[in-house]
Amino acid sequence: MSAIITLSLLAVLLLYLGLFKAKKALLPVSLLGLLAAIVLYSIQWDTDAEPLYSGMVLFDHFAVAFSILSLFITGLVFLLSRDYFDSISEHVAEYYALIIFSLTGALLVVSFHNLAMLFIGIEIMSVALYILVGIRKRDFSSNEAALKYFLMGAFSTGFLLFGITLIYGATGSFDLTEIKNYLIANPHSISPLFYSGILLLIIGLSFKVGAAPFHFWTPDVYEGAPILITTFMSTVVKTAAFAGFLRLFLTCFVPLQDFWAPVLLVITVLTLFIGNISALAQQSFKRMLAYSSISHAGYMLFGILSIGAASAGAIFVYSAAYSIASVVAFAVLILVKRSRGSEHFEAFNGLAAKNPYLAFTLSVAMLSLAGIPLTAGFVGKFMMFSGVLANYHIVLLLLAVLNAAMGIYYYFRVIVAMYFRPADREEVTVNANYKAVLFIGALLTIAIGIFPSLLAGWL
Amino acid sequence: MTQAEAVNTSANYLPILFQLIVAGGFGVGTIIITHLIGPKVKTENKLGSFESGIEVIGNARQPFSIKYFMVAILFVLFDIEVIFMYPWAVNFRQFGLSGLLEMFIFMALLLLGFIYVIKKRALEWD
Amino acid sequence: MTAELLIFYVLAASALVSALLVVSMKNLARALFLLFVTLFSVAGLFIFCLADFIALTQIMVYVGGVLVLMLFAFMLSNKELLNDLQKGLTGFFALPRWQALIITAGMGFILIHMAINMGSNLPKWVTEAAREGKIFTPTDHTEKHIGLQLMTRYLLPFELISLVLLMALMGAAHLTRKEPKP
Repeated sequence: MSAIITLSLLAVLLLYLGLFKAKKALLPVSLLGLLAAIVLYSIQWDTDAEPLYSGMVLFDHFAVAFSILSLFITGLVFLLSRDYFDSISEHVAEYYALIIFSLTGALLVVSFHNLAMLFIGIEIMSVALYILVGIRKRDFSSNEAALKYFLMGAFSTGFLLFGITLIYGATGSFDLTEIKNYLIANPHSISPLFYSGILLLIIGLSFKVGAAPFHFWTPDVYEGAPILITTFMSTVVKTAAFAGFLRLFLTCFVPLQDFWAPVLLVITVLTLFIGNISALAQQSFKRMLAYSSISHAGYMLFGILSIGAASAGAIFVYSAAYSIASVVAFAVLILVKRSRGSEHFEAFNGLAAKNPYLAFTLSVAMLSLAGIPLTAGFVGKFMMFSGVLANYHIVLLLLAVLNAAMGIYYYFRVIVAMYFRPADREEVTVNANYKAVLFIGALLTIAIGIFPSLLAGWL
Repeated sequence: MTQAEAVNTSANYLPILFQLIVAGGFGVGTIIITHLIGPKVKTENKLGSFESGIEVIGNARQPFSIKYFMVAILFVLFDIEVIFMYPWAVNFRQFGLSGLLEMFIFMALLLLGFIYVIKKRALEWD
Repeated sequence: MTAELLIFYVLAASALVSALLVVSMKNLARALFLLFVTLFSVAGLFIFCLADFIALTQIMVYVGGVLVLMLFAFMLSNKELLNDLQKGLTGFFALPRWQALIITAGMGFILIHMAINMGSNLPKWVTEAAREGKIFTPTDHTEKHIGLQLMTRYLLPFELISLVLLMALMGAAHLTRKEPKP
């Protein structure tokens, strides 16, 4: 908890630093704050986890692992932010503060132990993002994205809240332990309120993670938002939303698996196919990544579908691999867009000849997203698929493999463009922060790919 | 909660209902009565809008400053804050010092944001 | 007895009718003013549920604040743009309405299904509380209980709400700020 308090105070501090014209200090102070939070969380790792603050939050291994992952990815995003926000407007401090606030919300979502906290965590996470998506005030698509995200977010929060209310109506409590006890105590006389509550919760959370058929806001919002905000949304926010999703279902709803698994199965298959088929048709790299993030949501839903002791670890490794690779891909996209002014695949033509380092790291990221062996993405997909194989029949696995093949096609388009499509271009200038992020990202992707136990042992 | 109890409580609100009816009835009634007893002279000048004898130019609906919007949002925000203070104030004595501190933390965060907004000159009309 | 029932039905009917009119009305200004009626009637219904505090919140925040805000937003917006918007959807079966219809029908199905299955068997905790006499009577002060819960058990969510409000403040400042032309 001390980490969350530190972060909220850090955000306020950043606001006032911006007020007193200390712009140079913003980035170092934020990174220091994140580091402090990581340290505070690591100390908690070995202590016995008890629900805190009248059972509002619980910092078990699950919460601490996902929190540290979120903090780490946010750190990478911050490293990329050097010179990025300055070009948008002069109120840079607000953007740092809002990202930290959003991160605070994400940390609450991964460690909630009471449905009231889930709701408030999601709200804190999203309200900050509604503003961040629209920070380019003179850009029409950014405004559109902000409005769309706000309307869809508010709409889905309604479903979520209604679901929480119905669950409360059935059990008389918001507390996860008491909801679980209710299910165990009345296996045959569960109130119909409870079933409707689960359905509405699934709808609300599917909106938040961008799963089909509730995905339609994702491409426009990801495309309209500034690239760095898209990076944050598609990594930290998505990871946190999935962790919250899994935490709720893993602690409470396992006994009712027969009821919700078919619903989730339909959502998963739809998400996979809609995400991948739409990604095939894209000409813009950013939009392709948006659709591919939908399909990754589909793979991560496998973890919830085959819920069990292994699913926390599987989702953790998968989201870590996906987040790291996404940060690398978006970082390269920022650089390419800065030099070429375009987000299309053609903008990547001939990148390998002038910037071999950029091209190599992006290739590693793409291979990881596609799930090629010896990268982190493969480990994640492997863990997901083996979970599915243990619980479901072979047809679902075949569908997943078919989708993975489609994924390989569109991810390789970038690699082909970089290495085999010659084009006249200037060398892209890369500053030290970007070099560091790309290096860390590529290194971790390969390291996890070769030694999966690095991460898989955490949960 | 049985039906009888639910019904009992709303009886306490009956005066409010009567007040609403009187207030609404007065407004609607006077409009209807003036329509009924007033003389009806319809000339072009009388039906046109009165602009101190000057010809009417343009549309009455003009977009106005977005600063009004800021004031309205601030009103809603502090409205919500006051709503949270209300149940706290009802049993203020019971909570003692710790309750006071807890409320101060709540208000301090919002106040810090308010000071920030003022310092950023978001409330200045230029 | 009958007077209260009559008031209840009047409130319920005015809430339903005005809400239906709000969503079906083409004129945005009229829809906004009708929303006043909807929110007031719902506040009245909250009183019937013994939820005085919620009724108060409804009137103070929604009727007094949010609706005024919406009226401001309406007056800020461009009239010509809004006219286009109002003309866009003709015919009940225009495509965008299909999606709305599906979502409404799905939601309605879930709720009606639930209500039918609920029947008269209330959740166990409700019947147990009724048997033990732990129920609110009209003379109880619900806001006292809400305050107690808010400052003890739900203290952490309560403090975190100030974060949401703080961000809303920043968002408002961002929204109304003039960005210099590039």
